[in-house]
Amino acid sequence: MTIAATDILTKQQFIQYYRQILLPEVAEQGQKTLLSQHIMIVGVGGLGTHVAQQLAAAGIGNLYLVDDDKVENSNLPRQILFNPESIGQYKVSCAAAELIKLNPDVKVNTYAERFSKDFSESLFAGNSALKQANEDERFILLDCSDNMPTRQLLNHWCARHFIPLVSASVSAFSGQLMLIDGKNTPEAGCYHCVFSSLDIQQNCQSMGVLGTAVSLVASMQALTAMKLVLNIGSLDKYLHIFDGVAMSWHKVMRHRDLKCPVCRHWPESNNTESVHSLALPSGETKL
Amino acid sequence: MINVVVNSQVHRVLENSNLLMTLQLIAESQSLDLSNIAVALNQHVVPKSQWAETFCQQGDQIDLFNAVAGG
Repeated sequence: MTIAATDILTKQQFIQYYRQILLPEVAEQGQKTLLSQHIMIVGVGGLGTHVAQQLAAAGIGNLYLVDDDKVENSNLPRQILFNPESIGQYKVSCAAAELIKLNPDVKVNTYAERFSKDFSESLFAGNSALKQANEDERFILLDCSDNMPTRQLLNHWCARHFIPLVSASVSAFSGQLMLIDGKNTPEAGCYHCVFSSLDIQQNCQSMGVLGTAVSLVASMQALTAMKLVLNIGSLDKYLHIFDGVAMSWHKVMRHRDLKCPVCRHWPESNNTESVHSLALPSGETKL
Repeated sequence: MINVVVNSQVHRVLENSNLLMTLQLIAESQSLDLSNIAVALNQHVVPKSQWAETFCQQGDQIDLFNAVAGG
């Protein structure tokens, strides 16, 4: 990601973010980068409220919340930006109000709409700041949605515009997480290279979920986003799988499907080895 | 015949089986819908288009994952 230079931190900001700035991987420049970053969160439910809260607290300067749902009573055990007074109101409005209270440095843009094809096509036309942020590589998208058609649509839009996508999902005691980045890790492929179906019913509404499991997966999603923004560590090419019963994370290396209809326009990578050469017998891995 | 381990269970398959044949065998016995899963061979995801071109070897570890869509 391009490190963007912004204004100097105020004394108040320096004190507020001091524990982050203390990390050599962040430092003062990193905090400025966070403050100049644009992150869109699609789905302001269990995952979305958690990541929004964490990213706002960390000083991500520009958040975009997208969700057409209103708060329901059954949301409260895991959607932590809402309270009984929020019921019946748009999730994005309630969440934005809480985030601004949490950190006035953050500009929160809200869209009480479903992420549809029409919506995605109008986004850059209707928001020049967002378009500029994308051109400057200061824009990433977090998929916190609750259904497979939206996941596939988000993947398609991000793949088309080379927008880094941090996709996370959770239901029952299971979670999944992956970073998709066509510009920097095309060899790992896109979401469609791993899951191509539109017809998955494994969501929180049908399977149930615990807020604590949601919180864990959301924290990993927010951490992945912050590492990406700050260029910390190597770029992640795994599918991470969370098992809340076994209390474990497992990961498998992703590989691009060269016949994938979604990311076939991505550049070739130096690491386009076939699965034959990467997958070794007896559980050994080369990487 | 060779042994492969699918989701921690040992299965015996023909020596020249490809991944698609192995998965079809397992799908029949476990009512598994192959259109809704991702497959990892020895910790590497194998894209669906390569299942028929990827041959199983003795001791291979195959993990099947259902997509999780909730948020």
